Amino acid sequence: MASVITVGSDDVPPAPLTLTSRLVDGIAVITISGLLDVTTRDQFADYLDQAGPALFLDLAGVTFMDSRSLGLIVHHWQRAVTGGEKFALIGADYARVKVMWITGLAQRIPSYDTLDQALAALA
Amino acid sequence: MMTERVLRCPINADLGRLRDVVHAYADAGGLRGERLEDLVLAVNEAVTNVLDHGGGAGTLTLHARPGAVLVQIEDTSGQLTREHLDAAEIDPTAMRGHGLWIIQRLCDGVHLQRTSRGALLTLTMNTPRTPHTPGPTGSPDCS
Repeated sequence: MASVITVGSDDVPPAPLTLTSRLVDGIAVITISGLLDVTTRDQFADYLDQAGPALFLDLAGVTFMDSRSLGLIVHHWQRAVTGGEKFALIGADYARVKVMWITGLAQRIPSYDTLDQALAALA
Repeated sequence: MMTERVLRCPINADLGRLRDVVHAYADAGGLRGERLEDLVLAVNEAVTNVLDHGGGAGTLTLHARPGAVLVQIEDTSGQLTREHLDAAEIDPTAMRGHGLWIIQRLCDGVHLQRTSRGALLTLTMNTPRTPHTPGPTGSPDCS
């Protein structure tokens, strides 16, 4: 399934976020592309609420992440841990998701360069 | 002698445009690389706070002067206090509250004052005191 929201008109630049997911070994692998900020917050929150409980979030296509989006990710990570479910981040690049690194959360949440590495470690 | 340049923008939900304006203005003011991105991120957090808690509206004011770029974020609620800034910390179990910590972590200076309209947060980034071009002819604007 996929959902695309493009906000904007000729004089307002678009702030798109594309979310797609697929099941791999019973884990919802969500590919996130675009902006995670106030303009896409509800879309991201609703999508995560409907996914899981086992979640891998592929962040390789994220171009910007704010602290509220980070908070949502932390919430779902905590929920997975509490429920004994698998949770991992994929492709959390320092420059594009800096909030995750400077807060130390990228080092606390299981994080892998590729989906194959995450599956090998957790699935 | 370079005079201070000032640009004012209304704060609204078009965050992408505000980030672009801050990026272009701070770049023209001599901020580069990761520190430029840090300022954009910090301003994004402050503006998001205005949208969520600060009355939903306000003014973004950018100042470029020799040695520093300053961004002022003024809200219309005045609820932000020094205590909020001092209490900001990273709680890995919390969904919220990271923004003020991130702002203070990334910026060289964070100053808060009350105005007749609300709370005024001033973010400062020091820039190299080397001569630089005063920015592109088509400087960013908020229109």
